[in-house]
Amino acid sequence: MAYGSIEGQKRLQDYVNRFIDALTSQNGTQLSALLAITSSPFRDAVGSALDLVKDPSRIIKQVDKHAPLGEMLGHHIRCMQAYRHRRYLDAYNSLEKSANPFLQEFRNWESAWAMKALHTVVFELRTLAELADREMANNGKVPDKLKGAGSFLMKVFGALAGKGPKRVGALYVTCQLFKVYFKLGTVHLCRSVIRSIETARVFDFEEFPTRDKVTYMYYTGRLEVFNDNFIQADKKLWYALGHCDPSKDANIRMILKYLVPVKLSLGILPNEWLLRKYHIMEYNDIVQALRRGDIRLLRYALQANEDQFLRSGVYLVLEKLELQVYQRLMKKIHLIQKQKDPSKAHQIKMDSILKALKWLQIDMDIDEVECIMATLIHKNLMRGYLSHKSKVVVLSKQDPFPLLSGKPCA
Amino acid sequence: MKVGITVIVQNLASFPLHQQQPLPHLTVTRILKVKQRPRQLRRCHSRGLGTILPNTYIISLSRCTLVILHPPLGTSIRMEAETIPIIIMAILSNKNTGGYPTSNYSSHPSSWSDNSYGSYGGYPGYSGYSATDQSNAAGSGAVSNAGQYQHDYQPQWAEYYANMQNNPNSSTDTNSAPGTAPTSTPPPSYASVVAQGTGTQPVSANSSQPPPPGTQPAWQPNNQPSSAASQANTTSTKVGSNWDPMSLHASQADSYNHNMQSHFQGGPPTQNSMSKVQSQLSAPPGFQQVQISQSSQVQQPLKQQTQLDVPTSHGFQSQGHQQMNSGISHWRTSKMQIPNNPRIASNLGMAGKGSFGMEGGPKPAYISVGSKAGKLTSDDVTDATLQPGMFPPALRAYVERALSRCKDEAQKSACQDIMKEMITTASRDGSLFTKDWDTEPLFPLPNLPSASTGKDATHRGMAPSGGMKMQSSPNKRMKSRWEPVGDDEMDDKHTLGNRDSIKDSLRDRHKERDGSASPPKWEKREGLWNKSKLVQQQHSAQSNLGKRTRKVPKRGRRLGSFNGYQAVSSSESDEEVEQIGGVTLGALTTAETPEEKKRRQSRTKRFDRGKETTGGAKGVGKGKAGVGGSATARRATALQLAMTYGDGNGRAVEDIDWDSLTVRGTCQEIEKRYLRLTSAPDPSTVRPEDILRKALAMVQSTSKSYLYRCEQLKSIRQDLTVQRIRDELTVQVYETHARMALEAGDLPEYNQCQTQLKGLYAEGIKGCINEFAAYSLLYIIFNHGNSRDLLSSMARLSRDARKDEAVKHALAVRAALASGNYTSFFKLYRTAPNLSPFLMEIHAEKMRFEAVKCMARSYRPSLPITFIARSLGFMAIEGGEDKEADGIEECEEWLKLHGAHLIFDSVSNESVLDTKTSATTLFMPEPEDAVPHGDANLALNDFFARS
Repeated sequence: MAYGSIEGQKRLQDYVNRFIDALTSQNGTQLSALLAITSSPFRDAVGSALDLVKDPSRIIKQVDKHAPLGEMLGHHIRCMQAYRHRRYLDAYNSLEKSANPFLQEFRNWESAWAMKALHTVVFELRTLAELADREMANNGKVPDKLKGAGSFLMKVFGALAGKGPKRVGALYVTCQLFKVYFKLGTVHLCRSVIRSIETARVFDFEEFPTRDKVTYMYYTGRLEVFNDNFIQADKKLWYALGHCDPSKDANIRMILKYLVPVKLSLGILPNEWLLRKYHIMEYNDIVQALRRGDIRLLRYALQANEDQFLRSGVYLVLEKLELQVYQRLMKKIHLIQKQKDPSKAHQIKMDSILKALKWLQIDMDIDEVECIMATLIHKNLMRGYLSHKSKVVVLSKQDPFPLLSGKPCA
Repeated sequence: MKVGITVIVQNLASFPLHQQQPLPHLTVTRILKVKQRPRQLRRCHSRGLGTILPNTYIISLSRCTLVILHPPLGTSIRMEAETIPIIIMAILSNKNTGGYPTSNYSSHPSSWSDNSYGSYGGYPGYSGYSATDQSNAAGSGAVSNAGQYQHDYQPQWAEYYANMQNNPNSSTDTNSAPGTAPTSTPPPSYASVVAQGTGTQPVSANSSQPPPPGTQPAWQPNNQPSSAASQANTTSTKVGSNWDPMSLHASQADSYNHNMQSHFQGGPPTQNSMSKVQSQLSAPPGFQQVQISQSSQVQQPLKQQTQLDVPTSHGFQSQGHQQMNSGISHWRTSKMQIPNNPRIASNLGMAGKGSFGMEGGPKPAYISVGSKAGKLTSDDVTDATLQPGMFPPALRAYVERALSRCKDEAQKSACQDIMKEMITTASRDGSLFTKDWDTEPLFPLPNLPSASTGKDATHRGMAPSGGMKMQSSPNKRMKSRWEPVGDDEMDDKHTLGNRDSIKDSLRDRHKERDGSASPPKWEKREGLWNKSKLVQQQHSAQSNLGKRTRKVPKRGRRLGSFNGYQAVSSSESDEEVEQIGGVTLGALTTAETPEEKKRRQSRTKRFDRGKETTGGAKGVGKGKAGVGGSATARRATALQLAMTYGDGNGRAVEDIDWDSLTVRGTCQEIEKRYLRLTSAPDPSTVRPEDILRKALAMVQSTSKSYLYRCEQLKSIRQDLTVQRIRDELTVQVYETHARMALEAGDLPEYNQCQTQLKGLYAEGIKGCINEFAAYSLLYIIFNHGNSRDLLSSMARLSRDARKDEAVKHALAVRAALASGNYTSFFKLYRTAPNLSPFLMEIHAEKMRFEAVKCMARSYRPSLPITFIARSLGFMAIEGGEDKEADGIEECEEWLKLHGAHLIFDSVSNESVLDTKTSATTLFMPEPEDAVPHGDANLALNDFFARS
């Protein structure tokens, strides 16, 4: 026991020495490593040491000679200990107590040397909050830690968002905030953060680290998808894809999950190998349906992946592709008609459309077909007119099926 | 009732009220300053005082708006004050009416509670108070009753004037004494309000009658105990007609302080203004008052009173005239640290005297009320025919302006003669009240040999240079940045009137800038800053900065107020007790942040348990007294708790076990009007669950209008909520209400119910979940169309729910809408289950219009109207001949209304839509039932039908 205590003290002392080292030499990377929790080389050592040492405050107080972070470190090692014992709620609470004085101190530091450490704290805070929420939900409590983490992150954002060298770190926190808000389903809260990032002319967006820029564009692109603003969504997601590290397949896949539907709705279809490479084959059927004008396949694909599409939020986007599929179908009917009777190539009888739909096992009455044709013409996916009396669609001789080519369907 | 009000609030130079709004006499008693957030309100200290007049009402200025509530008039007037976060506590008084009947007052309890600045007690208990007051007075050796007082006051005045004239020193004092003295730290902003009420004040210099006592604001410098000499001086000048200005203010401040204390113990020290209440009654010649005021004996009894009657401001009304004379006593808070008693103040006010009080806050307080003490002497030369209180305030101001120009007595009396003439003429030709005295140019000063310069000098012997400066170069006075330019110019041109002096005083918050317009004089002595301002000729206002007392005997006070409650409750009828509670709580909650409010509201729930127990024990109906009593006790406890936990410890209150405190209703009435609760629910008006069940059945079977049913359901919902009943009955109530709301097209109400239902279903309570899931989907689709909401509610649908017909239908509708498939939309419209058609109907118009636009663009050359009618749901696909004809006719009308071109096709023998021409002429007509306020449910006719 006594031995264990001494051993524990030794390890703790070692950790505290490193901490002081990092502080005095202003080594942000080292500090960041020391503060990490989920993937920390020190966590287990410190955590177990704390099990052995009864009163760590003596050792920790040494920190106060260098910076008023003794209190912070005390909570932080408690957090490590709790994490080690898988008591995530306690771990989160300790971390929050530790993060507060750290942020306070960070504000006082003029330079941004500890940015990396702050980012680590922010990351751990969010991660632990998610774990704590899960633990709370399992224990029948109302999980609110992620929400708490969100408001703390907002505080951090406030500390960074001004002018000066610390601004570079603001986008990272923004992205962490996005993650929190998307998880909580409170994406409307993103707006204020976005505004503060985008309206600040003092700082060029390009000066932020690429990693953060990609994440930021990914999330804002997703927000644009929610708002049905496909052009903006396309721009942002395209930016994210273009700047994303090509070796990070998982990230590219995440971006493509939104970019593909957006591109589809703009009339741009992906190659199959792309879908295959990034494992987003759930879109393959939809792409095929668009290529073939196979309305049945589209419906099937939507139904089969309904849950997934609903959860990721692209269901409504994909559903709107239906008109494009009808357009494709009409185009095919038009081509067949042309082969059969070139003189009447531009007059398509409602009956033939009905027949085609029947062949696709789509049950529809003639009124509905008329309605769809009218909508196609109205939305400029088809040029021509309908004659109600003779039940004929008369197609324009020039470019009867204009391509969307990057414009959203009206 | 003639009234006038001049309010100057920081950058909002003067309220529009001045000319436009008829108001009872308004005087500001106290000004509170707040910095940025309302939260800070609690920390703010009272900054200044104004006059107190009889029958005062409270005005409160919330953050940006001044709200004056005047129950007897039933008016509330709001004035925008732009962005100034200032709170003004004001008191309205109307002396003419001599006090509002109690009934008036009590009939507006809620409004009071809304607007009151926060005092503990209720009005009841006043009588008790006055009794004590009198005894106090007796103790001090000078008490007079009402009758006496009234008789006395003339002699007093006479005496006073005589004094003024005979004793130059004293008059000087008067001049110099009134005013506010800023403390060392000038507040960044403050507001001063001056109100003049004709009714209350003997305005005109001409009135030969002695001014009613109530009109005279007295400024008493009492915060300088050290300077006995100065006090003696001031007191001598004050004579009988003065009372302590501070009393009211102090009392208000005190109540405010209580408030602050209760919630902010950690806050800044509350200030105790030293105020003295002087009994004018007791001292006919007024000089004795000084002694009295300084005698500390009085204070002891007073102290008790103070504690008892904190809520004076409310109380005064119920008193009527009898008590007008009652309150004369002296306070010296400075030594005793007695909380000031608003009651006393109001008593004084009742006695018919206005007093201007100044409270010295921890920060400088100002009142910029100038009282023209200097002119007082000449005021007694007045026209006997003119009754005081008959003049419009503007006229009074005018007279003041005129008099303020006078340099000496001779000039003054000459001016008075002129004005007397003017006023008599005006009143004869009836223009007295119609003339715009504010803009009336002043007559030229009568040119008299100013033999009185020397006298003048003596007059001002003690006047500070500031005053002189102001007078010597009145037009060059610094411009207040708060006052509008135009106004300023005008004032500059003609007058150095009351308003000016007020404005000046605004500028004078820094003592180095001391000075006031014209006669007002500023006196500076070592350790004592007295500014004297002359508000009105007959007003002498004297004030001292209250000495800041940092430590207030909180505990004693708290207990005192606690006791006060009980005393009140025992002495008053139950109903009033209830009101007290309401007022108290309302008062407590004023000027608090929403969280604070909420917390407090939850605190109030505590009372109900007590009520419930007593009420229950005594049986329904008969136990009112018991209920009231216990409720009061509860409230007192709550207050105490609130005080104890007020600052920082609020969480302790939150930890209370609400389950044990939940109300259990005892009301047996099935029908109940809905009234939004403003206070803790009373179990005797809350229906228990079985009665609610009956009520629901009644509502479901009634054939009365939706508005009636809606109200009944709302009251049922309220009763359920306050009793925290959340079971199948609750679900039924909300479902019933949601359905009725849908039928009536009352979407906001529907939405409320839907939200509640969501929560209830989530708790696992059974109900028509799928039916409402379908409504909810449709509601989202049609009403905000936010795709994220739609996605999440779609994702939330269970497998089970998706098989439900109603949900399927709703999903199909969504799909039809997404693809713009009008044919299928209207097919679904026809086949909609339950009440879905009501929701779809909302969108049908838009959908039809979109559809016709689409048709006009894609069909050529024409489209038969039967087809359109069929596609757009004007008629059933399979229907009788008649129905079809009706549908076609309806469709045709609808098309014409939307700008479509219809032509008659002789071949098919029917109307057809000319698509090519229609494509450009279609438009969406303004909805016929559009109402300006955007909610047809609030249409006036409905409103009348309801009430």
